[in-house]
Amino acid sequence: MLKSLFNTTVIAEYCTFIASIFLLRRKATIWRLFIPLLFITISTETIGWSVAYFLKKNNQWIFNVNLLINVCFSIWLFSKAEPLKNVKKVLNTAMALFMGFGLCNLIFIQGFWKYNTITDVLSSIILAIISCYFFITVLKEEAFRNLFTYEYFWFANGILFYSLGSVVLYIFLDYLGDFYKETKINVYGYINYGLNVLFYGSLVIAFVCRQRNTK
Amino acid sequence: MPPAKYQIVTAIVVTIIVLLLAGFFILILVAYINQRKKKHLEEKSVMESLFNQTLLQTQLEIQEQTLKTISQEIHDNIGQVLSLAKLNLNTIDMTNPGKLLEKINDSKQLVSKAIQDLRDLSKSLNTDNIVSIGLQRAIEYELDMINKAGGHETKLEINGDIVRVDSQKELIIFRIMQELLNNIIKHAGARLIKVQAIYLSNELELIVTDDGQGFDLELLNRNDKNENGSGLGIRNMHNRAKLIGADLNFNSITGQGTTVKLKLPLNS
Repeated sequence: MLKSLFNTTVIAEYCTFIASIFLLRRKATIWRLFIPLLFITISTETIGWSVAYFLKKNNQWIFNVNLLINVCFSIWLFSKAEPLKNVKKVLNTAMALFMGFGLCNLIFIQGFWKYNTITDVLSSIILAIISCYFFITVLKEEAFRNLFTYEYFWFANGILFYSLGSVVLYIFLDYLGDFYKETKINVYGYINYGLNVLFYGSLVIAFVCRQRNTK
Repeated sequence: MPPAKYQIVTAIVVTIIVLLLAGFFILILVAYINQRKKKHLEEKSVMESLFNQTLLQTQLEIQEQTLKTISQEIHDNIGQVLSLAKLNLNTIDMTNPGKLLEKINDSKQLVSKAIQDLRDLSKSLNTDNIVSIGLQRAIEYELDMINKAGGHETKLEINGDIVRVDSQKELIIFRIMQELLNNIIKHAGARLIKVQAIYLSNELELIVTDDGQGFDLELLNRNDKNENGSGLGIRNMHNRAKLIGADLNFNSITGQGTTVKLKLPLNS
């Protein structure tokens, strides 16, 4: 029973959540918000699984809401990065517009009961662009910054990989769903697991860097 | 299941892998460029340190040269004049009023000359003076001192509108010019020393010409310190010019004098 809950993605999320509790101390400041965010994420997984497994009901609405929260948090965190302080207003505006579109999609277009793939694809594109812009800005800075010990680099790294991988995945989500029903080959699952491992792995490294930089 | 579906799924997977590889490539590129930036900044820091070191050395050399000039002036000139004044006063004949007045007047003139020479000496060049009066006036003053010392005729020609450059560059250029003039006085056996300053819109050209005995440039490059083992060798002058982005060129034919050209870009 629990095997269906504790897939690779959920295990990665739990590990990251535990890492955040140990690594993100008081001096980590805004990064400590990852603790409640990851708690919300693992709660979403657990509640979503419970709704589907026990109540046999549609659980997509929980993941749709969680998607909006996660993406808005990611954009907001990028706006706090020093290299991107000049475009803070642009990022905050993008976050507000994305939230607006996300809610519209949730209420009027794809609805609560279908996974909001349009929102997911759009968020992947936005986050990939922000990550690339972040890298360009860091390179253009006059002072040298050791990227391998910079928490925002690893955060952007994880976001970039996840966004690039998931764009195509969610465009063809329905197709891959049908493919799974016919062949029992969980292409979506395997790719999603890999992307999540990359993302959460980068996030843990970011937490380690944050802890070292704020000692 | 139709093979077409498998092909489509394969295409999806391949696309995702390609995108991930693109992401990986972006990260490698970012890390590589960042490392190169680090190397560039380190090199820049070393160059800045070298520049500051050279500047400090230049300032010290100018101070040293100033002290040498002062010491020489006091010994050769002012000391002699005051000694003569003392001699005059010692040989005063109180019984001969005519001669007495003449001697007193002579002594007064000698003391006045000593006072004037001391005043001139007090304006001697140090780094603060050079920075405040500028390169052109500093070279003018240097040539003036050479003229007064006798034995050489100096000429200064200025073409174009005088433009002040960075004070640190002016110090280094002045030191090079000072050393060139010292070398001409010591080694060239020249009668005429001509300095031309040509100010163009994007370049300053300083040309020092003498009608001395010239030298074998290749031979001198091998022994690039003067006979006292002090002062700037030609290689050192080249290095200093290079440090401020200037180009220094020596042209000399034995028996036909020497021309030295220093070109400094003005917008560097």
